[in-house]
Amino acid sequence: MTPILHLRMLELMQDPILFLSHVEYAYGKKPALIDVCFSMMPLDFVAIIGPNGGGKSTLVQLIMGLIQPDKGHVLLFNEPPEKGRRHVGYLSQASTMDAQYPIKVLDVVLTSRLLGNLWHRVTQKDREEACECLDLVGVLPLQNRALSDLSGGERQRVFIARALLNGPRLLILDEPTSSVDPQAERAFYELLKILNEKMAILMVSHDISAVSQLVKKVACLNQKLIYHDSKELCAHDLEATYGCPVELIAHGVPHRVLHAHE
Amino acid sequence: MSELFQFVFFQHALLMGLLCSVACGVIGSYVVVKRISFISGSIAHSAFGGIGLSYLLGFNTLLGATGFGMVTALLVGVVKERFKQQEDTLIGVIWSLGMAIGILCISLSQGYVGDLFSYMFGNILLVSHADLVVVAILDVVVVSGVVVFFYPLRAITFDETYAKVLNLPVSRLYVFLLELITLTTVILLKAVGIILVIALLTLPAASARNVTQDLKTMMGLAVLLGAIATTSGIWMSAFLNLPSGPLIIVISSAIYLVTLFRH
Repeated sequence: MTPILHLRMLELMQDPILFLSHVEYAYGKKPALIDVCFSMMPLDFVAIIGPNGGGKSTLVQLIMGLIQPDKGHVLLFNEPPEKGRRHVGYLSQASTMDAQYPIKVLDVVLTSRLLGNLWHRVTQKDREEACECLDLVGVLPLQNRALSDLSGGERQRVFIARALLNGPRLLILDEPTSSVDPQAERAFYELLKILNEKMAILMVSHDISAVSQLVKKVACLNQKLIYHDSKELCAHDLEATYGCPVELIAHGVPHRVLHAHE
Repeated sequence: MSELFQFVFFQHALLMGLLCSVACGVIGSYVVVKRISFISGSIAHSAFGGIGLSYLLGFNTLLGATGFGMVTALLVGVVKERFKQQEDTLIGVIWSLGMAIGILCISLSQGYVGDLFSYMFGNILLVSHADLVVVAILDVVVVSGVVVFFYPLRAITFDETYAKVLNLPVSRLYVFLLELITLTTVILLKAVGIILVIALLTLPAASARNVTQDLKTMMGLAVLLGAIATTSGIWMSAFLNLPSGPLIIVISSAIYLVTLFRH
């Protein structure tokens, strides 16, 4: 048996960490998601791409248990999302957070320790672990700075550190690169590569270029979800998702994600 | 100048000013960072319904304002949770309906309408010993509420979605915050009156917001700035024979303008 086949069989024996079965969701009469089936295994790295308004954020909210599906069901770590989400590190869209709020970087990270316990008092151990998370994402020197003093890229790393504090087994990132400049973006993907050694990552983005070489699988979402079991995208699926012809651009051989086009 | 201190009414007024500063500095900070001035305004103004009701039925007006305000706060919480689409309109309705009920009740009663004016605009120089006791108790309740729930309240005012993901009881905490705002309104009632409550609730905190980037520091600084505004307002009121409430607000606004330029 080849090692790869062996790994594949191990994977099949495991339970999925995320499982969506025939999920439908509509805002009033306007459908946002139609018959979405999707699953993730431990240490997967999946990118879901699709146009704005294609239902990406709705999907993330369903997975996080912030909204309930009209039909179908969602399982996170074999539990309903409200329970299973304790194993998830969540990075919401930058626009939903108040970047001007008067709070220090270390305090942002420590918020996570309130998980299910509003009586929790911060201990020295909590502070040390929060500093480890800040160190891991490379912004430890900023721990006593005010959040509003930080750049978009720095702020996003702080929110990742917050998501990491409770030792998640799955990291869910909603449009993580929207407020980050291209240089910070590359460094950001390097960070995700390191994190992916310990946890599964689900990333949602409207930007096709977000599908870097790190991503293991890609799904296209525009109300319907087209799932690829690899990261090879074909023009046909992209056109179905974006509703218009999409020009595939290869990023040179080392970074090739998409098929070379004629 | 110092002979003013011999008068009990003046001592009462200064003490009341300090008690007000504590509540509005602490709770006002949450109001400012969560940007819920409008919601707080509607709770404060509708408390007037409680004043009118207790005026008509002949029981303690502060008690009436507290009860009425607390029910309103609950109602606002429900509106925010269930009727998100019409939130803005409904909050406006609650705002004016409470006021209308208050005015109708006072018109129906045979009482002295001069009191109405003092509830609208406050008169800190007319504070009784009993008022001080009630306000001091409310202050203790408000401050201990914030001391106990400082971190969860910060979590829901900073990032509500993340607080939900952390399985915190976000809606209940939000209503709790609204109830604390109600109690703060009642605390401020005698000093500046219904019309000016929202100004004192937001101005010291907004001024502190301009010079600090930490919520705890902001609260402390807001208390200090509130104390400066109320104390100097009370002095000026006694000397110039002008109403204290508007003077306190003018001074608070002046402080806010200064911090705005520094910001």
